[in-house]
Amino acid sequence: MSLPEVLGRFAPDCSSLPQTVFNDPEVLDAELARIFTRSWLFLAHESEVAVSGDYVTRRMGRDQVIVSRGEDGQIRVMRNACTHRGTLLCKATLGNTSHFMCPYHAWTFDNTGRLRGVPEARPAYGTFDKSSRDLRRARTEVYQGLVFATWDDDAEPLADFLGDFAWYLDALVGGDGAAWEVAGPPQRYTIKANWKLSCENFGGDGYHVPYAHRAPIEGGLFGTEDTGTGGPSGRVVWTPQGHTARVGYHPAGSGIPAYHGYPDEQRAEFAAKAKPEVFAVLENSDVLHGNVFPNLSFIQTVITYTGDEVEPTAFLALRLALPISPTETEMLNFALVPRNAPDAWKQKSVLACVRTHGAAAGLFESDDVDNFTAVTFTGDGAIAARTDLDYSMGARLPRPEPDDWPGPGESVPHDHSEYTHRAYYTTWLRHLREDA
Amino acid sequence: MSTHAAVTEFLFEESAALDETRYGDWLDLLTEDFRYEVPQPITPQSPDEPQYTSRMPISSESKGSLRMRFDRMSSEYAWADRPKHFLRHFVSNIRVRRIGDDVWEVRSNVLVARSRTSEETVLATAGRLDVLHGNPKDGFRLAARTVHLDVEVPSAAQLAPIY
Repeated sequence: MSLPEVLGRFAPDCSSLPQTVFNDPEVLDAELARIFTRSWLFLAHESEVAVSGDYVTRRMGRDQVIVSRGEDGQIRVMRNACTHRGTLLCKATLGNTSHFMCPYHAWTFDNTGRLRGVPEARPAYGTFDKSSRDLRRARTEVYQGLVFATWDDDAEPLADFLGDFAWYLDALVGGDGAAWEVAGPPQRYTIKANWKLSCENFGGDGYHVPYAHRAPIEGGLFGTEDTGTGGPSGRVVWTPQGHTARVGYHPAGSGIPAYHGYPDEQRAEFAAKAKPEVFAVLENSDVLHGNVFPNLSFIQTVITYTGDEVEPTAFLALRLALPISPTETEMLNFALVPRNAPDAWKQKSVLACVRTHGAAAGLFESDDVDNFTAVTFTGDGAIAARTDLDYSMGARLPRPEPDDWPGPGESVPHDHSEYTHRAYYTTWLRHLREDA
Repeated sequence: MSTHAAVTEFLFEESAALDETRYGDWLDLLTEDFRYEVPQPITPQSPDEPQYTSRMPISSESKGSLRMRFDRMSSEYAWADRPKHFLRHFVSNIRVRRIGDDVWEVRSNVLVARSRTSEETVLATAGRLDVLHGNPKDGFRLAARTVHLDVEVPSAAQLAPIY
């Protein structure tokens, strides 16, 4: 099926979409060309490149890049490929250096991407304009400690790209991104699934929680106390840029404070910096998770029991889904901890993350990955390529009247719905229909 | 029996319990304060720097968390573990060093083969650093295991087994 035919199969409101968007190589090529070269993409947390010379190597889509902090303190993102003949410049995962020397012919670039040295330049080239062979840099901006970059020089500023969704990122970090650091280099692993399946799931999908995660929930991961009548509920949120989130709630009056599971001192710091409306929104909440379009997911929740904890412990994880092929994705999983929290608490938080939402987390995450893989697996086939999947949950019900919930963006108090999936794919479709 | 032979036999029986999904038997081989860690592999800038970091490990488990993980598998809703997988450990290059009274540091290499349903077999190799308590006469208990994976970006299938 051609790309226009694939896109033509979408229901206008994205309440149904062709399964082949998870398997078709032509679809991935279009995504890489039309989304991953134009959107602001998350690269790293500021604390990973804390001092001048620090760098990490990452990808934007499938393009290799270096994220580096220059001697001027500024963070830059540049292609990790020599401008001479394309050799990978830096093979390390992370490190600290002022220069990157190409292993092939020793062209040498400083950590801002400027070409500084070309051996035998005068005898071999005669005249040579080094400045024309600097590394290609991506526009880079930082929001709340999150480093984003885009290849599109005409892209809107990051603040406009995030729009109302910035409010939820503020909520995630208690109003102060600088108060956080990565616990360590991110976990990296591959899954045999299309990259969007993780993103759409993180962006909402309260519906899967009681079923896909029934075993760990019954095992007491989130506590064993009776949550009262009605059980947990939640709200989903979305913005026109395709950013989506879900806030899960215990029943009203559960007495669970905002930022439950963080040390008292950090909660006091959040209280001093976060907006009062954030506290109103996070009261009685047990989870905040979402996805910044296209591929940065996040989750903050409280784990009560993974076999030996006593105190409920919160964690904050960022999850980056990087396509390798239509059916394989590299995941980066970052744990963020409040910089000033006691070391012993940070370790507990990392443990809560690693055991439940990590690369090898047998208690929760493994069931999600199993589902993403299973969807991708059935997408291979002639009938599969002509099959549409159902994303209509909530679309045929009357849209609830706006209420007094203080968070921005569009939202409904129905998290067993697919409003966020439709918002994600509506944005996706807009990008894919633009000319390459 | 020499200590080396007794340790070798212990390690063979221990991994057989995992391969044969006799999780209760396996837990009985662990001390109460057992710690299992898989550090995150990284490629450092210089070959002199460590290839692994434990700041955010791939796995960090206790006997309690592993028991919870095994208990989960008896649930009808443990989707990732149902149907069960094919698993086989190959343990070799065993080196035993006494580090205290009835305390032994045991290094070994492990090749793990895993498949599930119709998936192709996924192989993974790792170096293991174990701490064993006990002696050949009374038997051993596994007190700690650190697993150094031989791959920087493993697949989820390679991360599913306990090494």
